[in-house]
Amino acid sequence: MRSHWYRLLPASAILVAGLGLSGCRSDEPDAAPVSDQPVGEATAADAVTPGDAVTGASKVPADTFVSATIGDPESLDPPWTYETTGATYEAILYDSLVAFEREKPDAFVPALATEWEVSDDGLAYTFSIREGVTFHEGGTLEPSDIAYSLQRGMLQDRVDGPMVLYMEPILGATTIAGKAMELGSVTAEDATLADVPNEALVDACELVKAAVVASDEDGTVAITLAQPTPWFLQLVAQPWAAALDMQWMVEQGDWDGNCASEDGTATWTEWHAPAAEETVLFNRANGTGPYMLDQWKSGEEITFNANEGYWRTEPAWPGGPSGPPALKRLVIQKVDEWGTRLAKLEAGEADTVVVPRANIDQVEAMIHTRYDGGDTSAPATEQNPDGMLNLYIGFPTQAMTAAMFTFAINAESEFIGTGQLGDGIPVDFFSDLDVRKAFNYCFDWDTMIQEGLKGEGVQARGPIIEGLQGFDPASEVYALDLDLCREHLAAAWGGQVAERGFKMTLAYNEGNDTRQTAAEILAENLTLADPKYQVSVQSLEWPSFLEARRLESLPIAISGWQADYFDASNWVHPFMHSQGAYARAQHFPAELQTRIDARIDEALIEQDVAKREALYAELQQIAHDEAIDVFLFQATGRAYLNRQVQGYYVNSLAPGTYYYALSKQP
Amino acid sequence: MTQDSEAIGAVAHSIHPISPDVPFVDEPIANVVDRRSVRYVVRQLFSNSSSIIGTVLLTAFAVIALAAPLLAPCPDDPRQQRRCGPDPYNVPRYGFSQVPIPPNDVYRFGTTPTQYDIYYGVVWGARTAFKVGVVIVGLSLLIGLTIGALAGYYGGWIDEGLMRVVEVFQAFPFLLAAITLATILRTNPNFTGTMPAILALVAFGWTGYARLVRADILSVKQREYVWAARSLGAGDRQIIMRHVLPNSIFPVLVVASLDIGTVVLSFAALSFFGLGVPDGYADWGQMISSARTRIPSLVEDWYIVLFPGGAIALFSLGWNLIGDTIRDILDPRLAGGE
Amino acid sequence: MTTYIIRRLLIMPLILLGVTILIFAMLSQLSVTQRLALYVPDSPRASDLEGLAEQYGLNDPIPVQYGRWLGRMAKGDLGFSKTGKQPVGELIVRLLPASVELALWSVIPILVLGIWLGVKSAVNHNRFIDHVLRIVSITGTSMPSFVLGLLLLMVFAGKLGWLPTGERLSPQFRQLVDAPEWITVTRMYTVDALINGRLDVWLDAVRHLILPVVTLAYISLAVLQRVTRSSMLDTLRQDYVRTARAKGLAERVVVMRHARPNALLPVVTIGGALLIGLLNGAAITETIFNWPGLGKRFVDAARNLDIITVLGFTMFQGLLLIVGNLIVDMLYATVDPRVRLN
Repeated sequence: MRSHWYRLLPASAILVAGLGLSGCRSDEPDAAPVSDQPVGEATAADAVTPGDAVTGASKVPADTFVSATIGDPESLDPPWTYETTGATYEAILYDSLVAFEREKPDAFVPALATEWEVSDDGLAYTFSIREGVTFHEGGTLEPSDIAYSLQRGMLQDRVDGPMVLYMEPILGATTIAGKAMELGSVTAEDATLADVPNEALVDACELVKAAVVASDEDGTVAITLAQPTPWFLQLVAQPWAAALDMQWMVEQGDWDGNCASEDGTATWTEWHAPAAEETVLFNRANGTGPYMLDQWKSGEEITFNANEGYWRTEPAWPGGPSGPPALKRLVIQKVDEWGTRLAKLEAGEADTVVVPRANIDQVEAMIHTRYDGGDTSAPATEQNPDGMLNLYIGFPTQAMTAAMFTFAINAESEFIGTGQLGDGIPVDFFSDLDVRKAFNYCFDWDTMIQEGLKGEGVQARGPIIEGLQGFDPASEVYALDLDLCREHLAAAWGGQVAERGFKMTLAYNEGNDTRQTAAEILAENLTLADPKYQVSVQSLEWPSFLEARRLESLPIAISGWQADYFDASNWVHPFMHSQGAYARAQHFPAELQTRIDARIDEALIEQDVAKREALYAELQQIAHDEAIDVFLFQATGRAYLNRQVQGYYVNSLAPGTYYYALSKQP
Repeated sequence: MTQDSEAIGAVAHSIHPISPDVPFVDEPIANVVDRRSVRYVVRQLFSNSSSIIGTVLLTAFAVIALAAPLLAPCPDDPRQQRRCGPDPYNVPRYGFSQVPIPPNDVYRFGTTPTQYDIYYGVVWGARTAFKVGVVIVGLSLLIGLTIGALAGYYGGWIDEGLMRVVEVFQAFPFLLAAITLATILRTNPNFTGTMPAILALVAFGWTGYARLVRADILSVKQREYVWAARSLGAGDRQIIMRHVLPNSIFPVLVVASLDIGTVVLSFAALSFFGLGVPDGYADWGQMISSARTRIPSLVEDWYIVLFPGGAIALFSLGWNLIGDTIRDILDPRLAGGE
Repeated sequence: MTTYIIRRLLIMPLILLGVTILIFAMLSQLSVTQRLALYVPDSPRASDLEGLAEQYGLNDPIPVQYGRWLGRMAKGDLGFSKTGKQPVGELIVRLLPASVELALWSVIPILVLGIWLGVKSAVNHNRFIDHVLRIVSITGTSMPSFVLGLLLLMVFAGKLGWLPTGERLSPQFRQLVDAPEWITVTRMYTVDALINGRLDVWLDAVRHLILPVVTLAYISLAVLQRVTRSSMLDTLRQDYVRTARAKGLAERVVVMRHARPNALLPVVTIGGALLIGLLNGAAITETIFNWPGLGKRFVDAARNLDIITVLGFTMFQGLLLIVGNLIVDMLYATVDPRVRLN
C-alpha cells in the first residue's frame, strides 16, 4: 500500500508542473500570437514572438509604466530627503511654487505660483499663489500652506539635510540650531539645542516665520533673504520646497505652525532633527502633484496612481504635458540583480531598467534608435530596426569626481606605511607642490575616460564644471606625462623622494568601479614612472571608508560631488573653502586657505556678473596652479527606455525622470 | 560541515539527529584499527571507476596547485609586477575596460569582465581552494574536536554547558551568520585578504564536528576495551588519547576531508554577496561571481563561467567521488563481514 | 520524554539570549563611526556625526546598548529596521508568508524526489541507474547555487520567455491581492487564490514559483538523495535484511517492508532540518528571483550592518530553529525505539 502512493508523488509533481507551464505561450517560434495572460487586464502583447528577445514587444499596458531600478528612497518627506531616488518621487507627488522649464536648470515656469517678482536688491521675492488647487486628501491650497511648508522644513532641519541650502540665503546661518545658539549666546563646542535658553529658541523660530510670510487675502507669499542669492529660484523649484497641506499635517500630528505654546515655552523643537521614520511624511504623501502614492513596499516596489484632479490645465512649457498624467499607473520595482533586470527587459516586462556601465554591451542589440543627447531633439541614429529600446546617451550630469590630497594625514593612518619616505609616506607628504603636480602628471585621463567610462565623460578642469561662471573649456589642465611626473618627484622634498621612493595605499569605496579604476590608473602610472614608487589599491567597505574619512586617514580621498544648484558657488565651496565639505578635511596651508576663502566670500556677494565671472575664473586657476586635487572627470549620463515611451528629457539639476511628462505610443 | 546549500545548514553529511542531546547511542562503531592500512585504502580507491576519476581529478588539482609558479608566472611587465610581484595571489589585470576578452594567444582562457586573467586565476585559484579548504576545515575541526571531546568524555555539567554553547552557535542560521561576521570583520584593517571569510566560516562551522565527535565518544565510551582499560588502572588522559579518541576520530575525519571540497562552494556563496576575497584575488568563486552579470550573454562570454565554474565543479566532484569511496571503506557495516 | 521537552523549552530563551549576546559581541568589533555608517548615506556632507551618534545612542558602552535593546525587546519592541524602513516586527510579518510559501513548495519535491531517487539508487547499487543518479546528485552538490539559478533565469525567463522573471505575481494581479475585496488568510497566494476561487491567480502564483523552487530544491534534493542512498545501503546490509532474504521473501518485499522504513529514520531528521533551513530564508535564490522573503532582507541588513534588524531576525529564526529541532527530535524519538531522550 505505502509503496503505491510514493509512486504517485513524482507523477503528480510532473502533473502540477505541466499545469503550470500550460499557462505559457506556445513554444513554436512561428505560432500566431497567443495571449499568455490569464484573465485580467488587457495587455499590449500583440506582436509577441516567443524566444526572440530583441523584438519582444512590451507586456506592459499602454497606460502603465514599469521601471526596474536599484535605489529605494530613504524617506518621502520633502525637506528631509537629500538623495535622488526619494526626490524623484517627491517631484511627482508634490508641486513647488515654480517648476523647471523642461530641461533648463535656470529657467522657470509657473507651478503653484502664477507669477512672481524679485526686488531690485534681490532680497525680496513675492509669489502670487494659484487658486483652485486641491491636495490628494481633499484640502484646498492656500498661501499659508506654502509658508507653513517652508517654515516647517527649516525648523525640521534634519542632521546633514538639504535645508542648509535655504538657511544660508534666508537666515545667514547653516543650521537652525546654530542660529538659536547664536541668539542665545551659547558658544560651547558640544552644545546642543537643549542648552539654548527658551527665549532664544522662540526667537529663532520667529525669525523663520518672519522670513516667509503668507497673506491669504492677497493670495501671496513673500520670502525675504538675508543676502542676494541668484540661484534662489532653483531652490524653490526643487521638491524640498514642496507645498504641504497645513491642516492635514496638523491633524496627522505634525508641527502646528506655532513657535511656542500659550505659556511661552518653545514647542517647535519637538519636530526638530527627526530620524527618517519619525516624520508623518516618511511613507505617506498628501501633495498637489500629478501622482498619488498608492503603496510603498520598501525594498520591493513603490506604486503611484494618476491624480485625475490635477490642477494643470495649460501645458507646463510649449508642447509640455497638461491635465491628468497620460500614464495612469507607475510601478517602480527594486531589483538588485542585473541578470534579473535584463531578463525583465528582454521579456518586455519593464519599460526601463538601470543598466550599469559594465553591461551596456549586453543591451546593445536591443537598441532601436540612439539619441546623442537627453531627448529626441538630439542627433538620432537608427541601430536596429527590430530593437525595442531607445538609448539617450551623452547628456551632461551635474556631477564631478576628484581625487583629493590630504595635506596633513592622521599619524595613525594605516595607509601611510611606516610614516617615513621609503617604506611609507610622511603625514605632510602632499603639502609639497611638486608631489601634487607629479601625481597629476601621472594620471592617464584618456584611459580613464575611454576605458573606465567607455567614453562617457570629459576631463574635469577644476572644481567648477561646464556651463558655470569661471569655466573655460580651454583652461590649463594637466595631462599624462611620465617625464614631468618623474621630474617633479625628483624635485620634491629636496630630492629625497626620488632617492628613497615611497609606499602608500589608495583606498576607494567598495562597489564603486570607476573610483577603483581611477585609483588603479594612478597607482599603475606611478609605478611605471619608477618602481620605487609603490602604491597599492584597497577597497574599503562603506563603514570603514566613513571612518577613514572622519579620521582623515586617507592620503588621497576619491569622491564625487553632485550639484545642489546651478552656480559656481556650489562647486568652489566644497572643494576649496575652509568650511567646505571636502576642503575642510584637506587642511590647505594657512596662507593659501585665507586667500581662497577671501575670494570665495567675495564672489558670493558680488552682484556684477562680469566681476563674478572673473573671480570664479581666478579660483579655478588657483585650483589648477596649486594642484589641490587631481580633478578626474565629469561623467555623462545614459538612459534606456522602451521605444513606445514618449516625452523623455533630462534636466541635469532636477532629480530622476519626470514621469508626468511621459506617455506611451504603442 | 556545510556547503552553500541554503537548506541543509549544518547537517549535510551527518546522519545523526540534530539535537546534541540525542546521540545514536546504540550505533556500533567497530574496532576500526585493523582495516586502516594504507595499502588497503589505496586498493579501494582504485577499485571502482568513480573513485579512480575522483583520485585523478584531485591529483591533477594538487599538481596544478603545486606547480602554479611554473604554470602561471607573474608577467614581466611592470604593470603586472606591481600586482602579482609582491603577492602572487593578485591576478594580472590587462586594462580597465569592462568588456571581457575571449580566449586568444595571449590570454589563454580569456579575461573576466574587469580584465583579470582567467588562466592565471584558475591556476592560482587551485592553491587558494586547497589552502582555504584545509585551513577552514582544519580550524573548525580543531575547535570542534576539542569541544566535542571534552563534552563527550567528561559528561555532566561540562557536557551540558558546552552543548548549550554549541546550540547558541547553531541557532544563528549558518550562511546569514557567516555573512554578518564577515561583514564586521572586513571593517577591521587587521583582517585582510581571505581572513574575514575564513574566520566567518570557521566561527559557525565547527559545531557540526563537535556534535559528531561527542556522539562518537559517547558510544565508544561504552565499549568493552575502555572498561577494560579503566579497570586495569589507566588514567583519564591515557584512556582518551589511546582508546577513545582514535576510535571516534575516524568518522569525523572522513566528514572533514569531504568538507574540503564543499568549503569551496561556501566560499563562492560569500563571494556572491561580495564578502569573499578582495577584487582581483585568485579565487574561483570570486571569478564566478564577477561572471554573474554576464550569464545573460553566456553564448559570447562562455569562458568566464566555464573555466572557473568548471574548476569549482571538478574540484567538488573529485572530493565527492573520493568521499563516497572513503565512506565505504571506513564504514564497518559495509565491509560485508566484520 | 515530557521532561525532555519541558527542559528544552525552558532552555530555549537562554539560547536565544545567548545568540543575541553573541551578536553584540561581534558588534563590539566596530567603532562608533562604523556603526553610524548605516544612518549616513554615501555623501560628503556628513558632518555632524557626533549628533547622529547621540541620537541613536551609539556613544554608550556596548553592554549599556545591549541592556537598552533587551529592555525594549522585553516589551515587544524590536526596533526600527533602517534597511527595511519598517518596524522589525512588522517587517518579519510582512516577509514571512513569501518565505513560507517558497519553503513549503520546495520541501515537497525535495523530500519526495530525494527519497525516491535515493532508494532507487541504493536498491540498484552500482548498476547503471545508480551511476546516473549519482551523477545527477553530484552535479547538484558541486555547483554554486547562484550559477544554477541565474542559468535557469536566463534560459527560461529571459530567452525563452516561458516563465516570469521574478517576484510572486504578474503585475495585473498585484493590485488585486492588495484590494479590500480580496480575502487574505495566509498571504500565501497559492492558498489564498483557492480560497478566493481564482484559479487564474493560483496558476500565476505557481508559475512564479517554478524557477525559485527548482533552484532551491535541486541542491537540497541532491544532498537528501545521497543521504538516503547511504542510509539505505547501510540498512540493506543489516542482519535482519539478510535474514529476510534468506527466508525467501521477494526482493521488493524485503526492500519496501523491511529495509526502507528503517532506512528512512535518519531521513526524517534531515527532512526536518531541511524545512527549518528553508524557512529561514533562501537568501541566494530570493536575491536572484527578486522574491520578497526573509533571506534576502536579512542579507541586506547584515551587509549594511543594520544590527537592529539582524538581531530581530536572528531572534525569530533562532526561535524557529530551536522549536523545529525540538519537534524533529520528538518525531525521531517516537519513530526510532532505540533512541532514548534523557
